[in-house]
Amino acid sequence: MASKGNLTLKSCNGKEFIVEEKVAVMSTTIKNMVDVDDSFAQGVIPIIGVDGKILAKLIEYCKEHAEADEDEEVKSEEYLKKFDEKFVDELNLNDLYDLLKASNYLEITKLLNLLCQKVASMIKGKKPEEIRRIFNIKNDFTPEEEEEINRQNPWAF
Amino acid sequence: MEEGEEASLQWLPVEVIHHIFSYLNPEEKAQASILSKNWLFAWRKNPKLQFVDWDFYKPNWYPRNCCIYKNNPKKFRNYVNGILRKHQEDHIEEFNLSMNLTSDDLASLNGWLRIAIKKGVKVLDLSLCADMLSSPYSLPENILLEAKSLTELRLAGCKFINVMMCKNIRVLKLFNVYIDDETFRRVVEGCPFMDDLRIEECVGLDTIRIINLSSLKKLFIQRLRNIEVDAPTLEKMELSILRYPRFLELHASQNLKDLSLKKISIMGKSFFVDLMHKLPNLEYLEVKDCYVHGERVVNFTSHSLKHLCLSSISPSTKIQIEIDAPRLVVFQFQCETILPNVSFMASRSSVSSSQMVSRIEINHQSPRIGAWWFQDLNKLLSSLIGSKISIYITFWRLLQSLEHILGGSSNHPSCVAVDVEKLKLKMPYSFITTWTEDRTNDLVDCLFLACRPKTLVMHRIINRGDDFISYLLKLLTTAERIRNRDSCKSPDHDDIIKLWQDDLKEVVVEVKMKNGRKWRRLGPHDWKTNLLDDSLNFDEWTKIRFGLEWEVYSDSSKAKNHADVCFQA
Repeated sequence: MASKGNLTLKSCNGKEFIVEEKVAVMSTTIKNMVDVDDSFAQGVIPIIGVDGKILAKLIEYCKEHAEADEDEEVKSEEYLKKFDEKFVDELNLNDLYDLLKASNYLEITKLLNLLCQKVASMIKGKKPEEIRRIFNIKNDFTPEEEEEINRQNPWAF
Repeated sequence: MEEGEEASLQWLPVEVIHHIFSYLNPEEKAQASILSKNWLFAWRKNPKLQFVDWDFYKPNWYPRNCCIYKNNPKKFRNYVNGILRKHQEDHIEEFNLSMNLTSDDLASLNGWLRIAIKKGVKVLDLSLCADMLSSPYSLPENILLEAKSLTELRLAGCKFINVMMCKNIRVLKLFNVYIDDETFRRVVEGCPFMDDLRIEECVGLDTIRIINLSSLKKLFIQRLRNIEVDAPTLEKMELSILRYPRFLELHASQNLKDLSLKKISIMGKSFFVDLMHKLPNLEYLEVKDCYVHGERVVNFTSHSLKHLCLSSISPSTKIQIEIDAPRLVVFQFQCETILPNVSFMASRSSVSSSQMVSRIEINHQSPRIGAWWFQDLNKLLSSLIGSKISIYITFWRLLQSLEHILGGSSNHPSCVAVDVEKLKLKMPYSFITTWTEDRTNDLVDCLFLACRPKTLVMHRIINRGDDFISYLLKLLTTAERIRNRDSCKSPDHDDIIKLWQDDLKEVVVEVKMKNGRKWRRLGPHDWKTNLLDDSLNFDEWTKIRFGLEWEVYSDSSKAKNHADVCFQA
């Protein structure tokens, strides 16, 4: 049972994490749950479809980005930028995919923005074939479809 | 992800792909949209369309690294046309268009808007620049009549005259739009469900009435002369830049919780008294750069007010601020050289005062400063005793030397230094270039006469600022006074100095490094040598913080006696 001001989050494979409320409510989904139903604030909040490893990562991110308390020094933008850079650099494709899905589901907007920007930066300046290789995306168009797309593509310059 | 399945971004949720698209320019979107069926599907289903002509600007390099970006309006037009033709989704949810208009664009622009409206656009956001045209683009008068599903309209840089509104609009934001009183009146009449209205940097408005909008929750109005607001549902309102209004009529509202008034000429003796009376549930009030005409006493009486933020309300005359707000938890005050008198009425309950936070920010501009100023500061702080006080002071000009500051000290009433949580000093470059040890002594003496901060924080200042700070460090951490005693002329002067030095029990010095998050504590061996000694590798620090522990007097009489001694000599 979490003490006052803390919430307990439970991953889909049963790992429990006790976190400060201000950290947990970085997720709009969790915030709405706690706001609407008081029992969540006391009990355990199940985080569906997110395993312990990914949940730990999410918490690591949210801890750094949660608003500073009165007596804490506000973290410098520069520091957070460095943290963000390091955070996304260390992700493998598997984590990236899971975190994108989890931050979308949990509505952690800042993290979703960060991850999408990361993906966007990996797309920039590359040919489709390269992008497919990096993200392990299979080209599932038939040759006819592909030809049609290339012919019609109004966005190709 | 299932065990054994290979990691891939093939099947990302469609809305995540939309999000990724929002960080890509058109060319990159084109590359990404043909990765796979799922990505193409996501692209063609994207209900949020965003067109920014800046993406089509190409740099043209000239000698001396001079670069001019060149527009390509034709390419941009073809792009928008192509996307709209290919768009498979039956409806468009959001249509964002930001462009620099040429005369050739006008016909296409109307066409695009009609397509978006036909496809049931909910959010329409037009940000136009008409620098290349002789007059701004006028939104066609009847174009919105068909837009039954439009709920949010954001316009910038166009003319909005005689436009017929669709009645479902809930959010209307106009920025730098030409609109007249008559059109505005019809907007208010025609959109009964309006919930958020924002008029910013607009031209053409003089007198408006916000009435009969029974769902209005947020209102932001700027730059006009006269306004009447009668919207009982309103929760948040900001009014700014109303110079010498003939009428500024705010009707009673039970729901208004958050009010900001900025750059408004406030007239009438009882403006704030009436206001608080009409808004019985107001929790947050900000008054900024509002010149209060001819008033010496400003009164805030409210049983609901929690946060009061006053900023530059009377820069040239001293005023008396009376606050009777038992629920107040945050009091913020910003001023220049002239400090106000603040008094809290007795009804402030002991519960709230122990939780109350006071934040005083002073921009000291005047070269005139003396003991009287620090005594005013002491008086101001005394009125806040019981709350957690933080003070932020910027001294823009040089202080005179202490001899002047304490001249005729026997005339001054005694004061007891007030305990404050935090004192943050800011010394601009102009101040620091001419610092001397004497002036630093003077400043520290006077400050500690007015208040006893638990922490004293300073940013690192370029150039000679380091000398100033290392002297301050010596002053605070060295037991015996390092000042040249010969320069002290009056005996009472000595007592003041002794007073705070005797009371200072312990000092903790911490610095914050560039990029660092944590404070790093310095040991005595660090500061006894020079803080700025390169060998200590402290050249990376950006902020310094002194934790000061003072002697606590069980009753104030002893401290008062001390103060009496120093002023009665």
